Amino acid sequence: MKKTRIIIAILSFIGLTAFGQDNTVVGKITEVSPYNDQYRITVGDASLVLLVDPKDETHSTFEINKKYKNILVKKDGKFVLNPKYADKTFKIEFEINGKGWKCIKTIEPSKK
Amino acid sequence: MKKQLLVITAISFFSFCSTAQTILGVDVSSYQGTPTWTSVRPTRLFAWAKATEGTTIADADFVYNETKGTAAKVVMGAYHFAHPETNTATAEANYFVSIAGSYIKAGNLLPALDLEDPPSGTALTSYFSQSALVSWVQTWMTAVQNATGVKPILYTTGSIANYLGASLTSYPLWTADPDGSPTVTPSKTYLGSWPTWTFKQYSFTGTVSGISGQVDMDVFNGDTAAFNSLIGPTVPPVCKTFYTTVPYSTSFETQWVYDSCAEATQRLPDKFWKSSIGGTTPDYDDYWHRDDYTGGDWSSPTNGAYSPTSSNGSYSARFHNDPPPAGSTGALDLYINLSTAGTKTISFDYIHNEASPAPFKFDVVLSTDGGKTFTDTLMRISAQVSTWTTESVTTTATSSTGVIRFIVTDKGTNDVGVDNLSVTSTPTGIDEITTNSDMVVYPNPTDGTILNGLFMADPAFSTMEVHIYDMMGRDVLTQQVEIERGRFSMALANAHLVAGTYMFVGLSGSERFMKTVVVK
Repeated sequence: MKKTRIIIAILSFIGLTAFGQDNTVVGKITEVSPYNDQYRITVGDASLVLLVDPKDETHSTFEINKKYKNILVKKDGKFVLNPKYADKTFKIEFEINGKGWKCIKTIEPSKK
Repeated sequence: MKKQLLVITAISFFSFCSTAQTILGVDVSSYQGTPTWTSVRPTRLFAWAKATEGTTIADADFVYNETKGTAAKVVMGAYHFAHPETNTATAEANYFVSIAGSYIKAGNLLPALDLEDPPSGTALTSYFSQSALVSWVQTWMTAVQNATGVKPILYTTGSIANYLGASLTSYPLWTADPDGSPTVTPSKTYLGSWPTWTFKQYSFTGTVSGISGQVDMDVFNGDTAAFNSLIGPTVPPVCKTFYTTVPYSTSFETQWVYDSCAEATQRLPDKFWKSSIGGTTPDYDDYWHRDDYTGGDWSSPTNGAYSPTSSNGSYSARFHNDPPPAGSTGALDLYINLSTAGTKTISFDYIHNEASPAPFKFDVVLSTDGGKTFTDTLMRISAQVSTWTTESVTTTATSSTGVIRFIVTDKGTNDVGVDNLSVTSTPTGIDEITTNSDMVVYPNPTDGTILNGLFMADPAFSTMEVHIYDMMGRDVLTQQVEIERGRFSMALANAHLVAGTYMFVGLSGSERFMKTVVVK
């Protein structure tokens, strides 16, 4: 019985570790600030990083799905949230990069 | 260790001297888990591993990365993630060196300061003035270079590099320019005032065989000769012996510093100390450390720990010997100039809570020839001392190259603690020192309210500085007295002298008068 419990516990742990990581955040974008030459976006309690598209020499677009490459717009020399996305709820998928940053991969509208 | 260094250097040399190539590397931390470095090596020739962050976070995989990376012939380095918004530069430098010091040496990458915006809170360029941020970085760089003998490199972003100005450009720059290309030269906007760059972090999201998930990718700016020159022999640390003076005291509170002159991983309370191991089967676990040490020297550091951890403050000096090679020894040596006249009292608190300590001995021994020989055993403790107990011993040695050694031979069960150490001087042999003894003080004994003096003949001076020392050598009262017709009087009441023996020292020009005074 003990062995069975241990095996179940191990399998549960492996399952959670390998498949249970939730790399999505749902919520409204509440803050945008510069962060190490990139941009930090706050969604609820989560701090996400929007990487500048390195292929864009003007550094004005970002490494996310095409539809939301204009998620930030320049205003008075600073990037701010595009007003048309204010108060919109998004489902944001991210992945952890080499620095441990939660880097935004895709932004989708959320029905929540 | 020297052999290992030569081998690493030789491997590095042979690795990079054959053909011109783009020299690529990575930088890793515990976010990358435990890479298979033998799989990394074919495409990545160098790697920085995160060692520390702030003053409390030691990367869990640092030692693994340094050890396995080096074994796989990757040229390794150590970096520190700075939190200037939280800590002083000196505290962070000391912490970094205490963890990474033994991996900073010829044949490895330069130690790196990772200066970037903190994970939460304000950007550094908004938090600090330019001069304050420059000062913080300069202090860290200087402290690390002084401790290791190796000039560090600065890793930073373009915006911070621009903010720093030109003051730090003597340090090589590792620029964060994640343009995805190892061959494109960083634009000027990433270099600030630096005329050139040494490394470029060209991706935050790379993938490399042997490393799971994403990893930072780096490239060196130069050819193999330049790389070999960079990692090759550096200016060795000055292995000078520093002698402190009497009085000296420590409670071992500050983070112990890495001994850059030693091959092992010793850490020391300050520059006046050295440590060594000996006996029948000396091993790294025989080194003394501050009691909270958790590095590689000590296995199972919680085993044998004493309680409380100190008798004064929070920390103590601790000898931990686990597992116990019987007969091995660990020595902690204080280099001290004892030429001050008088008897020197060595006082410290001690603990070794072990009911059956044999075979065990704790000796305080003295060298008067700079540590070449230790001929004078001042004290030996071989029995149980279950609570912190003050021990003291005296010496009249006057060597300017004295070494006080605390040496333990342990069977390796419960640890030994020393704390609250002081070395003080009590002037004795007054007649030898005093050239003019034509003075008396009275009443002696005194009731502690007043002390008078009388010169046998009128002195040529009209004022005298008087110091009253207790038997620990502490100056408990200093007073300027007026001398009229060969007499003076001084009030003692405000000093609240407790009953005991004191030294009266009167100074005027080159004249010195010393008397023993008893307060009843």
